Amino acid sequence: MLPSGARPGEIEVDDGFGDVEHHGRWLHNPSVVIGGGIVALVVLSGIVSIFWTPYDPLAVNPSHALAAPSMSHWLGTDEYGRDEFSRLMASSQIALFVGALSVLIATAVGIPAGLLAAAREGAISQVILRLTDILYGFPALLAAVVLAAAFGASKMTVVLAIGIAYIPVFIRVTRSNALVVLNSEYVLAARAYGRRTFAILRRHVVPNIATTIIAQMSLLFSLAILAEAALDFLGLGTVAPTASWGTMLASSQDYLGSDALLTVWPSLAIVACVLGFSLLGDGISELREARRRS
Amino acid sequence: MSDIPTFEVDSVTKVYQSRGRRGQAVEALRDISFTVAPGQSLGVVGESGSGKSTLSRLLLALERPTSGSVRYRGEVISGRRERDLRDFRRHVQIVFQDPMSSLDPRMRVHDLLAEPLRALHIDVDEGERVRELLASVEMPAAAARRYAYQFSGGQRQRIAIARALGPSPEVLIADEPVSALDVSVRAQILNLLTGLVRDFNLTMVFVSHDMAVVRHLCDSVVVLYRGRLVETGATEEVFEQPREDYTRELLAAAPRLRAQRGLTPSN
Repeated sequence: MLPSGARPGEIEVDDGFGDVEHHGRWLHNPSVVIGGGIVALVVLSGIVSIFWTPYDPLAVNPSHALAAPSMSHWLGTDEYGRDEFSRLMASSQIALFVGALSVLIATAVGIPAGLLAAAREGAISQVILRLTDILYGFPALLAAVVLAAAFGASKMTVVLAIGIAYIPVFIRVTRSNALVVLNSEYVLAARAYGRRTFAILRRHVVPNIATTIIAQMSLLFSLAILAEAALDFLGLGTVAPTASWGTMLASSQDYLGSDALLTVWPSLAIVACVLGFSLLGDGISELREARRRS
Repeated sequence: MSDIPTFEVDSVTKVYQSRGRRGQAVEALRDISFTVAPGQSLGVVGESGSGKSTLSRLLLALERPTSGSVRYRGEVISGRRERDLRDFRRHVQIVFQDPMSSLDPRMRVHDLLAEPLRALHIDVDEGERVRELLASVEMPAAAARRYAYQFSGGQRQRIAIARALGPSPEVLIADEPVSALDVSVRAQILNLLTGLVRDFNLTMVFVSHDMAVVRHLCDSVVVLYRGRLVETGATEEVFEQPREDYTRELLAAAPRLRAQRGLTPSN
């Protein structure tokens, strides 16, 4: 920052300096680097698995059932002789799909509703907030059971259950952060030069709350992956034989005594993935705080 | 034209009703009347909580009075719909106390200065106008590419002043424009304001708790105390022969006033 009271003529404008500093900070934050690295790895393996896996993740091979890790099967095989590594890779597709789509549903409804609740005091705001409370109190697991019973268990029931369960979180985060911006003097200044509510939301509120929202999306992404694994484990989501970390975990239970590694691999994948996304979210929040203090 | 006052505040009362069943009403302003003539510099003085900021928001038609009316050049602006205030918004601009909170941290200076022009559909070459505005507050054109937080407090306030000048307003409302600044830069900003008021022939409403500054800048003054107008008149009269006890107290609370009439910073 320039020294206070510097005469205007003495400003040394070093254009682009601020941008350099900004990019540098991202790479110096360990949470962002580690979290981002893990997330990149998961996303990469998900994309690669669409085109290529060492073996067909669904190919049964009874003669190689429950094989130990080896050069041909890096992480061994399961009870049907399916390659564990290939199944783990294919599972990341489902985790990412469910995570992304449920966060998308939650934000697509939650952010506009949160902005509306912040911008319109009074009746509209009250209605949105009461609906939020009701939704908040409704257990996501029950929603998943009901959806699975009504439409059959699939990854879409998981997406809907998780997506709807996270709507209130985004409404609250958006509204509380938007209110801070709406009560700021720069918004008052904008109203004084004739900006209307919608333009203020677009030009001032959204850019100022974007980082917070993105951090929240990353955190909820990690929770969505965890919830997806849990619902699959309970048989409310993806069903066998499709590979997902939750179904792999469920079928490995029977072999916990003899082949514990079958439980370890999907568990590690879930932990790493959840850790990656929540670290990334935390890192983004930390950077935002650092920026705010500067 | 000179007989139509720029602002005519007519027995304005503003009550804030806090929410909830047991909400108490807070009376921010009570039965305030005064006028601002074209080209005049009016000082609004009072301690914090006297209703000064409420008054500036009413003058900007950002809030509506509970009763009474505010007229701008003879037309009622209080309680009007936003779409009827287009011309008014061009004519009246504000500079706030704290330039850190009055400038959007996410916008570059160029956008900060161009926003009023876009909002008010003022048809000019943005880049050129921004350079002009920066020059008028003695800032280099290269500042346009930076963010407000990359400048010092005084420079930020220059940016805020440049933004207010963008739509070529007739009236500038300055709400404690130097109170948040270092003492060493206050005089610079005040001199800049005085110069701009002269060069652009601006009518100014200068809200402040600093009697010395008001005396230096304003030709008439309104004294507020707990939401009531206690005294009004030409600055010299009010300062030399205060009629009300409260005004006397305010003056007594600023002891360096008589010794030091200029605005040389006292550091």
